[in-house]
Amino acid sequence: MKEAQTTHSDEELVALALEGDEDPFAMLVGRYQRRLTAFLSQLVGDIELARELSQEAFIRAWSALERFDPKYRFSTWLFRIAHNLGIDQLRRRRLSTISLYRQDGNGEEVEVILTDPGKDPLGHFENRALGSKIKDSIEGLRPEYRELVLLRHFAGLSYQEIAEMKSMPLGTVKNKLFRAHSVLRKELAESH
Amino acid sequence: MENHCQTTQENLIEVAGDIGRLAEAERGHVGTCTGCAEVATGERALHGILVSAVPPADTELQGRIIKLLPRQRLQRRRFRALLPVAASFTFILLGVSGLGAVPGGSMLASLPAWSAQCWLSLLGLLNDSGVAFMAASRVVATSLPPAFHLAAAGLMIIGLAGTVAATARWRRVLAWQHND
Repeated sequence: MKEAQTTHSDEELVALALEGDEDPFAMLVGRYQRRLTAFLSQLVGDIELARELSQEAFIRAWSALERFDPKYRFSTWLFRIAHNLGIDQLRRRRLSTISLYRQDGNGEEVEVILTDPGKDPLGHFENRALGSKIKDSIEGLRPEYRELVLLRHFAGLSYQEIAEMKSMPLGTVKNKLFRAHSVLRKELAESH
Repeated sequence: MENHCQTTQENLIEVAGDIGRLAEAERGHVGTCTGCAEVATGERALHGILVSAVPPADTELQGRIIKLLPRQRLQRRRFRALLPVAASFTFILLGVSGLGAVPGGSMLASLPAWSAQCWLSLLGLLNDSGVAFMAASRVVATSLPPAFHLAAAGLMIIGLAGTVAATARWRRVLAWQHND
């Protein structure tokens, strides 16, 4: 199935889905699956797990569709569900692992999230060395910065959507992404 | 770093280094500021890398999700359909128990013999249950404060309101069933 191409907005599709038609929700799946899985794969560091969590996120959204408040964007609601699933998964994993720390570009300690090379979320990346560098750079960010980078570049959310989802002022989102990008640009420049 | 530079660079990050999407004043600033120009170049490169890091659409996963949707709706529909039925039944049971008998039961005797017999048997069963329940509840009620009776009455009113609300939603589920 190609990514959904329709003139209907997300909220219009949700309204149609609430009337009992599953096709509009299928369009939403087509519209957001790629970004949702990309976001989750970076969050949990495992592409297969990300696929399962994506499925779970969509099913939960479908089951709770009547509770969706059209005052908010569907994308932020969906990614909030996915984010909570990913964080729950990470918490379960942390209970049975030892935490490792390293210093980021600003000299601050950040927790390292180890990933299984066999389940590399960037396995599709043609330039393996660059993919590995990207992965390391993102994983090395402070959690609060890393999360925003994932929401911006993998989930594809706008600054406004991120601010809405995180209940954060727009200026704070801009500032944190500014700091995160400073670190990423610096590390990527050092790799060339 | 100057405040103006930081603001410009924050906006450069938001537009992924595409200077053409900045406001005119900021475009002019980038043209004259080495630091901001470097950030623009760096952001374009970073954006290109991050965009290509997003994997392609997973059609197999999408198909799997879509197949699961009707099953979820069916489970939800069953639960929603049962809820007002259970609430209505509970309310009826409370009412019958409170009265100790089915109202207007004596009128059933005027029905044709075969139906009257069936209904009277059922009525007798309900009556027995109601009488037994009432006897037990009277024993309990005498030892309970009036506030309990008030709470019980309130509960019945809430149950009635809940039944009405649930039934109203139930009609919407019925509309879905026409699409099966």
